[in-house]
Amino acid sequence: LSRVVVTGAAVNTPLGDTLDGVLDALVAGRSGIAPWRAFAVPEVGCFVGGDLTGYDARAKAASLRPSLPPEVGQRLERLLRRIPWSAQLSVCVAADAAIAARFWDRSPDPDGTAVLVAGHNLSPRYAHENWKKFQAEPDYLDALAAVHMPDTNHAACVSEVLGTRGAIGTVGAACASGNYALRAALDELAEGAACAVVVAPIYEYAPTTFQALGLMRATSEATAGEAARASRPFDASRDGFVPSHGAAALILEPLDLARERGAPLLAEVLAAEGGSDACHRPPRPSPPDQAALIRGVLDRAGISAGELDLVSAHAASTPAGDVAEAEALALALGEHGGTVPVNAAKSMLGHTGWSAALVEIALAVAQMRRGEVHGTANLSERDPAIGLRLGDSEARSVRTVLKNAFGFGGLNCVSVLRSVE
Amino acid sequence: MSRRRRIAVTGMAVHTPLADSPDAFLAALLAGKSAITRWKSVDVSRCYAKIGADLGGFDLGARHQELAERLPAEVAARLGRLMFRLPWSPKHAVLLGAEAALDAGLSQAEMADSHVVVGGHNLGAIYQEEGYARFAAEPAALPVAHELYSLDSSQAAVLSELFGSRKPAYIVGGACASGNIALQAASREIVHHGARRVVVLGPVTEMSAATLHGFALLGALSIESFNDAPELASRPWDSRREGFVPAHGGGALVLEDWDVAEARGARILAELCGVGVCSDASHLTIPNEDGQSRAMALALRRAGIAPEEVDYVSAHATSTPQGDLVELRAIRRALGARADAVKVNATKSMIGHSFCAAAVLEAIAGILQMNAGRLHGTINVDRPDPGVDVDVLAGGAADWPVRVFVNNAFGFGGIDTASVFKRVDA
Repeated sequence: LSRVVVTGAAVNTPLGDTLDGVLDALVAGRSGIAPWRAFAVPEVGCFVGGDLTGYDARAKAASLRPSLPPEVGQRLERLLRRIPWSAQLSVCVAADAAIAARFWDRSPDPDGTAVLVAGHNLSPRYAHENWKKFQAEPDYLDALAAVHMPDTNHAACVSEVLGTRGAIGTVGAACASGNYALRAALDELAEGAACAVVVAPIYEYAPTTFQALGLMRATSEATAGEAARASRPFDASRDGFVPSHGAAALILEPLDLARERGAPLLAEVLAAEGGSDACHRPPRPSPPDQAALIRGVLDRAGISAGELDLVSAHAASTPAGDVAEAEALALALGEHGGTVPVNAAKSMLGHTGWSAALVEIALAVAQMRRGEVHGTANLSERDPAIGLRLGDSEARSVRTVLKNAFGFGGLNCVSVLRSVE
Repeated sequence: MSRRRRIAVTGMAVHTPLADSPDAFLAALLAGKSAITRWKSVDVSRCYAKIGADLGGFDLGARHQELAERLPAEVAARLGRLMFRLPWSPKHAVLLGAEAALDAGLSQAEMADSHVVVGGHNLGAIYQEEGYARFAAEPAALPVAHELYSLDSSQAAVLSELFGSRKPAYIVGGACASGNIALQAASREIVHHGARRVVVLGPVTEMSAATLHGFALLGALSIESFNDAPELASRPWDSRREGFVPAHGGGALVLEDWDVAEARGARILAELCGVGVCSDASHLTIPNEDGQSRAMALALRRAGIAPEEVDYVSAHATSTPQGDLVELRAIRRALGARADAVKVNATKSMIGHSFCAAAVLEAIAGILQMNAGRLHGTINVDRPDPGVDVDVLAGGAADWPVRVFVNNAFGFGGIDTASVFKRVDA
């Protein structure tokens, strides 16, 4: 079976739309969380988040164009005039990752290039707005709603811009979607695909989403003045996750083909595996099951717990989730549970939902490349139940990373990456 | 990976307005019955779209009671809790999952050992819009679970919970081709992830007035000529076809590692030999002969089956002016001269277009027909389009031995897929 490498990675978050820039911000301990601007927040909802409202996709496309073949640039700009905002962000981040992968230097076979989108129900705000239009007058509905509403539109738009003709589809499991999409990409490549483009669009959120999350007490109740301190994974005073916009894309190729075409070899994906808590509601994270999943993926990757250099935690800043994850890591890693460095990108980025695992994988790849890890912000008083090695940003050689994702509804998936020797 | 694991189909379940069990489904299809009526459970007073296949009358409670008696006690208890809490489409999900598991003869331990793959997305429009309406009236009236049940992923989560399974559970999507993509993902669970069995769900897509109106505005639906004779509206390949007819419908399949199925003495219904998925590199809704034929060719290549071995094609054929003929040309391109020897039919002429579930329902229909040695007709083909140059069974059901069939599904966004099934004794 061929080894699979990441040849390109890109992100778009409230801390910036370049991978290096976002890592710089994380290393400096900057927070992307601010008062929420995208829509008026209902009374019980969360008030703060990582908000990309106003992000100018057309300006981004203009900055990418010099690096794109002319016909790709044309398709990108043409599409940006037609599709909803969140899909615009998807095509931009995919083009960005493709540029990083030098996708057009001896391009992978388009018939063998897959586009997989991580997530589902990506556009609740677009859906809500269109419902309101329909209520006012049915024909006010966006005439292309039937094209733009389905989640698959993100995959189709990316395929159109990049000109891919291989497999296409979406893969979703709530907050574990990114890892599940990565897992599907590994299968696609194992069955002979030349390349897989994995795109995690932003999760748009809607006023109803905020209201429902607030009613469920899933999100932080931090006020506007406390925005930067709202997301505090593993801290004793954490009170829920902080919703955030964020998108990511990875280009994956078999190592031999990537080498052959001279693509950057950013990291190797060793394995991704999924599991379930067998309980959709209420959230009932099960440390033994999460630990079994982590041990399983390490086995599949052929590495031991002692070889891990970094755990990029799921750590969404929820009271129950963070402590369960810490317990699972202690169980899974045994004697190494307290010594392997762990960080929580969500402490500064917030929770980008379905894209979180992929955003954080892209950042893990950047940390491996740079030999520097970011810390976990807002750890003013660590929860005594958490025995993990958490710390500040530091220069550190990182060869092997575990990426956890434990999702809403009890859907889990974890992955392991390693630097390319 | 030279010696692939073989994939057995061991259980099936269907919920369509035409029939609520595989046997009844086959009988109704062979009898040429239509499921299309005026919408009753959806308020279409403000829409152009008036007709569809409506599952609103399905007696969920009665089906639940019936299953509760047949399921292992713990699973039945979980089913009861789930039926009490879930919205409409996920209720169908857990019933379909339970029915397929029982059809496959799975024990409680075997259910708990099942991976779960759901093929579909954007499934809960009615549930979401009810939330929007309550929110508009009074924000605090939004159901607490609104966010959880607005997520399609909950359909996978509830099946895991029903079965008590800690195995991988997730959803995959490809618009109207989602079912075939789910079959591919499920077979990969067995080939690459050590699954002994996978429950595959083709979920029931909720149809809201706004969803239906969106399709009507796109010009995709039959909204003109057949509102007073709904059973005539879905007429693939007929000269008077004018668009697809949206449908409620869901199905579930149990796929198993062939050796595992044999070892437990399971009744094997068919072999899933291969799936092909490819893209037209276009987000628009233009059917593409090249992409469709590539999907069929890829599925056959993966199945290790030559075009000459195909006996029957279960067409995507949604009754749209463009799509139906493009598909026939694609079949000819993929099968070559064999196109003159195969039979082709359109299940959607009777059950309408059930979106994400279509390919699962049509895989089930195909397996039932293959095992019966008799194919259903395509109804309403009164005057075949002059472009029809293969046998689309316009004259009704016919005896026809099938060793291998191809199940096509093409989705909005240039998503082309095909799956290939083989008879067990073949």
